[in-house]
Amino acid sequence: MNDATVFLVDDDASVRDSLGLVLSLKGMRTQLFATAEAFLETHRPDWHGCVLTDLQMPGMSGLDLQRELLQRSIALPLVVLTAHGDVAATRLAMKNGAFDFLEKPVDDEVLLDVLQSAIREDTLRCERHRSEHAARSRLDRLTPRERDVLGLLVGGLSQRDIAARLKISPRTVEVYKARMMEKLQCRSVAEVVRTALSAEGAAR
Amino acid sequence: MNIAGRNCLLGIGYVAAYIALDDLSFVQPLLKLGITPWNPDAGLTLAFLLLCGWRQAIWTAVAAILAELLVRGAPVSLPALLCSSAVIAIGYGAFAFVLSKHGLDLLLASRRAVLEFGLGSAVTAFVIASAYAATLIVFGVLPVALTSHAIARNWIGDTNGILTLTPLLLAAPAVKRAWPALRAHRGLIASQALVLAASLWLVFWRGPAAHVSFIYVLFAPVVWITLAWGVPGASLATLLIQIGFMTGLAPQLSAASTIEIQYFLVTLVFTALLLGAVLAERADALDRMRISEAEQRALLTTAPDAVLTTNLAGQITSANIAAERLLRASSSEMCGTPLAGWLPELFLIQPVARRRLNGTRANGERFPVEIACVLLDAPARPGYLLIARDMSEYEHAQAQLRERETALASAMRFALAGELSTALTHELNQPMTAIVSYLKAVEILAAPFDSRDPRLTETVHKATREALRAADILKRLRDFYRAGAVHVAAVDVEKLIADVACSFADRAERLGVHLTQEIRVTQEIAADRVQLQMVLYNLMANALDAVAEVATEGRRVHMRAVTDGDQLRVTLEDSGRGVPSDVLKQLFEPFVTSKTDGMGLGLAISRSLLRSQGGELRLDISSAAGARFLVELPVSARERPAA
Repeated sequence: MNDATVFLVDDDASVRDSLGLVLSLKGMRTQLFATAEAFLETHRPDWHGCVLTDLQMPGMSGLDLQRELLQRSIALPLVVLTAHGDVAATRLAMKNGAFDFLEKPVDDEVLLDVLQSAIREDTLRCERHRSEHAARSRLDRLTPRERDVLGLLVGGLSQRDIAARLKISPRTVEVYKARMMEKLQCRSVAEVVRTALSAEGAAR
Repeated sequence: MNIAGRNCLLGIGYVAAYIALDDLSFVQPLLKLGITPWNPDAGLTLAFLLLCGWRQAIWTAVAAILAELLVRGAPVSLPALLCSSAVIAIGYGAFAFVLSKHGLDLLLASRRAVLEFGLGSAVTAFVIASAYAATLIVFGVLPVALTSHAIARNWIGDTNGILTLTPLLLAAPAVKRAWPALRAHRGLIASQALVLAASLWLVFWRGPAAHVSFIYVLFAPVVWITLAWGVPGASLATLLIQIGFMTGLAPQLSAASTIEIQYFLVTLVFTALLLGAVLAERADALDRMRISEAEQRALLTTAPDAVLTTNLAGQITSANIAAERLLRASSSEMCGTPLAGWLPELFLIQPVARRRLNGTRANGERFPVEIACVLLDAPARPGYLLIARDMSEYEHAQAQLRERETALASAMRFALAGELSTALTHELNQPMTAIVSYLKAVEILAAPFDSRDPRLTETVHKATREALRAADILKRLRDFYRAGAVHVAAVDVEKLIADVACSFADRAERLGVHLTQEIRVTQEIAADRVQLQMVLYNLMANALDAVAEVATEGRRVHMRAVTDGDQLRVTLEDSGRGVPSDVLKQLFEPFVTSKTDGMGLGLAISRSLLRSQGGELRLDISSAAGARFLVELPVSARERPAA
């Protein structure tokens, strides 16, 4: 994914500017925000990458932003950057699922490492999400009869058993199965099973 | 019986007594007129008018007319009778009016009263005698040649009658009160009566007029009786002498000699009355002195401070109970000893307004004492009066307070430095972060030129390292102050709050602040005492600053501590103007303040301290009518986990 971005939220203009500079020199896409509110306002659901936020800011703090992201189900990994070394806040942020916690001033190697792994995680998440979504949409194109055949097939029944259960001829089952496999773009029964499970994951 | 009826009965009784007295004293009259050498009826009249009011003078007129008719068989014509009686009634009525308006002491218990009464009587008697004589001359009853004779005889008769009888009658209402004393001194009374009778017998009754030369003997019993019984006694004694004279000797003497002796008797009675008055004054002064002495004794006994008196040589002459307590010695042990033995630093040369010095108790213990000393310039017993107050407890308490405040101040300084370094670290970390990042950027940007001069990358590296080192120093500084460990121990909240209130008592009093506390703490609290005290100290100082801005009568600060479940809640409420809206949002941030001379760290520190013990500090209420801060602390505060 080449459009993964680091969304940097910090109230201090020079921190914002310098970190942004280093990250872009290291070849990362960055987008800068002076407040957590500004980030939330401009956020779009197709954004991916990770959020790098300061902890103490006037108005919404880093912890507030984390809470808000959870509430809006924005799954971007959150890396917290603080100048305060506040132990209690650190513990709370980690408990709420922050990706990592860094203290200012931060070593650029460490920062880069953390951001890259955060982005990697987000990319994986997105891919997973996308494949699940695709499986689901393919599954949605099946007719009820084809879906019944799929369900019994995934349950491990043979064509003959399926025909007996559905009270149709094995020949008709053969036709349904072929049509279903074509719709799901699967070449083997194993692939069919994988797609069905992935779609189930997306449905959950 | 109504008042008019009572007055009527009194009047009738008076008239009857008047006629009887007139009849009895009707001896040696001039030309058979009512001009006699002793007129007790005049004394009766004045006493009657003084006791019953001058308006009763009408009865005097009636009495005078009836006496003329009954006793003397009307030797004059009716108009003359009416006129002369009117003269008597008007004369005494006017005198009684003047005396009662003037507020005369009817018991004649002062020299002034006796002088006013005696001289007034003499003048009145003279005026009446003159008017009486004039009336009789006008009606042709009295020959002009006898005018001065008549006036003199009438005047001495009336004056003597008044001086001997009136004081006695005026004292009559008080006789009931004096009765027990009279009974108790029956023997004395009997012997005085005996001596008086013997004197009378010697002077008036023993034989012919030659013995008048013994008349001065009469002074002895009169003075004796007066010394014992005062003005009424003097009056009674002279009355008896008068009666003795009139019954014993007077009948044998010529009218002229009788008048002569009357002059002597008027002197005697006036002297006796004056003596009686002096005695009454003395008794009164003694009484007053006894009362003031009793008051003084009570004052000295109950006085919380030691009171000592010394003579001019500095020897103790008296000591009260507080002094015994102060010096640990009994009053008898102290009396006679030099004061310098107890208070070696005091030199009794001049009065001392207030001084603090050291004393020595009987057991040798030294103690701080505050003294004040005045010179007693009573001529009989000059010396010094010294008031001493034991200051040891006060100074002990002061020292304790100072100690506690020093500890608190140092803890406060430590917390201040901690808060300052934390704030500083935070503020400086931002530019540090920027510097480090910019240097990193420079390093990347300089990479293509590295081949030209390798020192470029190396220098940027060094700069980065230095920036990181600076940040590290700040971090260590912050951690040092933050590690200022929390010492959790059992805390007596009641005492803690009392201590805080005590520290501010002076300032609160100076500002006229009504400072109150309410403590309902049922559980034992485990917390860091010094830190909690620091928080309350801060809040209290803020509250007093806040109320100092409003009018004096509305200055109130209320501190309330309660335990609620496993929480200790302390609220501090003031009647100031509340927190200004522009600082409300960042009230607990460092360097935010509404005071002109404040650092803006107090509340930030307080909140940090409480949070480090798992507690919290909040602004509960803030309006134009005041603010309320709430301190919450778990009943059992936990130690801060290592940062």
